[in-house]
Amino acid sequence: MKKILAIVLAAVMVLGMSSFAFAEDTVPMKIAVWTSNESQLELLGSFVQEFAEKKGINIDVTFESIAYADFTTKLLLELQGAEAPDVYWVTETSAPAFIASGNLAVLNDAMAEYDPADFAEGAMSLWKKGDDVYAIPFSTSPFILLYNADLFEQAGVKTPEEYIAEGNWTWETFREVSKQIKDATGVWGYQTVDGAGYTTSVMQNLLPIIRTYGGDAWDAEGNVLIDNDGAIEAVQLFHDMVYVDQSVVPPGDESSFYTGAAAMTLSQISRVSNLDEVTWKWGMCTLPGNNPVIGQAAIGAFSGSKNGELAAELAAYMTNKECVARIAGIWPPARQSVLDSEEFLTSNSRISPEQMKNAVAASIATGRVLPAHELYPQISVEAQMAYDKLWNADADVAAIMHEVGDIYRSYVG
Amino acid sequence: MKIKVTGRLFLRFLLILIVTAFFVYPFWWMIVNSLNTSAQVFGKPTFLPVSWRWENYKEIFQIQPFGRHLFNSILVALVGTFGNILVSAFSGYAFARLRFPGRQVLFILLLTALMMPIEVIIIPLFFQMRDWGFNDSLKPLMLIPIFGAQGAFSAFMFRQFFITIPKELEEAARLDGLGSFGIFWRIMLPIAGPVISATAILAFLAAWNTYLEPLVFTSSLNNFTLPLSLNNFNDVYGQPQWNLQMAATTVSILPIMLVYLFFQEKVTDAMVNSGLKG
Amino acid sequence: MKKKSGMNRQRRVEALTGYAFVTPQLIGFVLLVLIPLINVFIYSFHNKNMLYGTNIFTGWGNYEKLLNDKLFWKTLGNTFRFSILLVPLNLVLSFLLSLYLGEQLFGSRYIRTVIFLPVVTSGVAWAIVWKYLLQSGTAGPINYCLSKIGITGPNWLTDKNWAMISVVINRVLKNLGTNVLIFLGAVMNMPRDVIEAARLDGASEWQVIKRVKLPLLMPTVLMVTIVTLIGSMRVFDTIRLMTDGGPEGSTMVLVYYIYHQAFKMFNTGYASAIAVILFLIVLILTIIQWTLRKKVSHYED
Repeated sequence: MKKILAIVLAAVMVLGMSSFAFAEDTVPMKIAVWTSNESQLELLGSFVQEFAEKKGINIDVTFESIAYADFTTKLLLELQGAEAPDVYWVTETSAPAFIASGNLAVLNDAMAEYDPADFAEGAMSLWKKGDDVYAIPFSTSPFILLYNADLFEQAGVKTPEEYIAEGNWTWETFREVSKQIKDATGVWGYQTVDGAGYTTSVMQNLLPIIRTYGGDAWDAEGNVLIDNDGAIEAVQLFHDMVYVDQSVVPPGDESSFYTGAAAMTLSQISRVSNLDEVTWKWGMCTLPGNNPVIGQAAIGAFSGSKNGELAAELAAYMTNKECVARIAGIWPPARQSVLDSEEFLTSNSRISPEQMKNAVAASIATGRVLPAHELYPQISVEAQMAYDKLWNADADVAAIMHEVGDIYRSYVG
Repeated sequence: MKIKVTGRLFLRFLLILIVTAFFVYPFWWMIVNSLNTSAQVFGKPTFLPVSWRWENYKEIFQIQPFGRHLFNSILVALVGTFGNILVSAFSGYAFARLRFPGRQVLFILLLTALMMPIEVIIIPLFFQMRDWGFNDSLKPLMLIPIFGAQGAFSAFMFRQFFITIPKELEEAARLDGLGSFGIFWRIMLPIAGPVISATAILAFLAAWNTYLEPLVFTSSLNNFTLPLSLNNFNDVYGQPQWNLQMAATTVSILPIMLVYLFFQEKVTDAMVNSGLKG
Repeated sequence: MKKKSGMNRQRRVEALTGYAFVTPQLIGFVLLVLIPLINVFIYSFHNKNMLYGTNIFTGWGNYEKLLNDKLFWKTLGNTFRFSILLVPLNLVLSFLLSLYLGEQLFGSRYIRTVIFLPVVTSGVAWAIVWKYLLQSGTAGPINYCLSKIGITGPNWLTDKNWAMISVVINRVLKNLGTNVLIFLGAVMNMPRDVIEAARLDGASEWQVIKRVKLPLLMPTVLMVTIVTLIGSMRVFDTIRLMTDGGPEGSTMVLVYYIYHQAFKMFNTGYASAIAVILFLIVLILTIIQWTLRKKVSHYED
């Protein structure tokens, strides 16, 4: 069966390989990713070619773009087939299951030459089992706050930066600001992350508040903290914003920050390109309390690959210092040396060095990844049914959070 | 009397208004917003597009291989329909007119496929297609409309039709020296025109609209069909691009809708005859 | 003697031709329907997981798990709730519309054309468009229009009391055209003289419908009921795109739960057990249909 490939970087290959005449050394490599952005794929493609040059071989690389929403499902279906990818991206929530099921190759030897100690221990926790590394994070992207400066001005509200300077950027302030903007301009004060903060992104939406108030989903020891007093207070605060103040884009309403229909939103720096065409001034800052969720994505090698060793080496190469530095503007790095570098601050032309430092780097410093679990898909489906009950004006927040807690406890610890 | 007549006329207009609101307005709304910017999609509903942004129709082909998806859908639907008709016309004729041992049993066996939802067998089918090396290709999407429930349905339609043809026709043909195949190919198939078009229309619609099968059997972007493609107008992190989604949806609907409006009588007949009475 | 062997030969040729004609379809049927159907039963007795590659015989294990799976029972209930809402609404509307259209009054042709538009539209496109139309607040056109006449529209898709109704409305509108046309075919075939005679006897229009038209159309009504009922068990695209089974699992139906267990959680064995349940439900409905069909055609003779 002749497979039609997502994006063939043939041109890049011919250019890079013209000095090598040994066609028989060509190794096919298939890489599954969820971006379909051509410039990003081109960048990744150049890493592969540099790697091939270093090894003195030809690599016939194909990138396969799988939509993010179905990425894990589709990827797993692919791994079942004859033409499985050799190297693939892994989402954070599927990490434990992919490691436990043996679909990822151990990368310890392959990454040995690229200064593995440079990765902070916290950044690697999801991707290791014992001392073995199964995938290497290429993106450690915190959820930060984007805001529409024009709307703040129009409503006569101080900017978040001013509040931060005062040391007064708390969730209570945030609630107040959101309400003031809604009352003054009629525009929603806040949109949850892509409007999905009630459903698929409920954790990214609620955890920053919950953590600030002393709760969490569950900790490393298996203690569920989602329904302690702090967590309930935190969820109540958000609930009040939606149903008492009515300053948050409510469930089922697709009004979007990026189209000017909300004054603030939870976001990641990869989304800033959405703002290229807007006519209003926007800003970026840390979340109140600065306890954001960090989204991670890693690159791993398929344990069943025909060229397993090479695939592992390629995965390690693509996360070396040089490569990581070049993609840092799109995907904030997990490597401490790159994070600390001056280049990182100027790596994204849409984001000022101050924003990169005060919002992005500061969020990475204090943020944490989502809790992980081998049965994460099951847990999230069951928990979602409980979380859904929150989104009514008369919801009993404490009872519902206890219900979520019971579901977590039945899996964790 | 006069009041009664105007009352009736009013009710008729009301009915037409309601039907228009439910069945025409959604399409109108879709077309209007396919020519808006993303922000305008959520403004107050307007009767005409605000910005007339024709670039949307260009961008849908740039953001993902939409042309390819369109092609895939057409290919799958055409191959599926053609194969479906060919295979089921033969078997439908045999079940109606040729005597062979086990005919009744085999026919009833085949009919079990008629009501079998694909959802029941999708899991084993997935593993089977994997073992055949058909995963992430269009082959399962072509095979299932030919041999699955839709195939059994077409065979049933053909059988019901051929059973009504007078025996004399075949006997005369046989005297003229035609064999069974000749009778089928030269005499029976040509008079089966109405059934062919009816089953073809139904098979085409079924293959064109199938969603679960491509969802399960295809994974790479280049093998997507339209139903998958339409829900994939998101940016890298899953944020939908509403105006583009509407433009793509319009492109996916318009051709088939025009075909329908053009062949409306045929389509209507196909539905009326879709054989509940057999 | 010679003549008889000639007959036999002809018989044999006919039988061979018959087998040749049905073979392609039967091979396809065996490979793509029968074997998978047998396999789904086999899988349902195994602890089979796609992610871990496990495949261990567990006997009735999956079925025992079903008994204790609250989500499964909820799903089963939702499936029936969906059908119970959808089937009568669809039937009553399509029946009345077909009677109206059968009179061939002003606007009939227009109505007949437009109610069929959603039928030729893919379910995915139809669901996507309606998802926008049904937005909550006043962001969606429907609630916007309702607000203009002073009605606060519900949160169609995010309120657990409305989500199922929204999906039902979407499906009814999508498939109404098919049933209207099937009924219309039957309406057009009704003997005119019987109806005229009833009218001459002074029966009101309602009485004509109830006493004459409905009995005449009963066979069609029964068939359409079962077909619509079986079809309603299969609602997948609408659910996936409009509500994703939520809120609070209020629109999670059997087919979506099968997909969820098999392709999101990769519990293929457990999902197969749910598929077997779906198969049994459809089987029972099909048997009912064939029994009715026999009875009805008996009547007609």
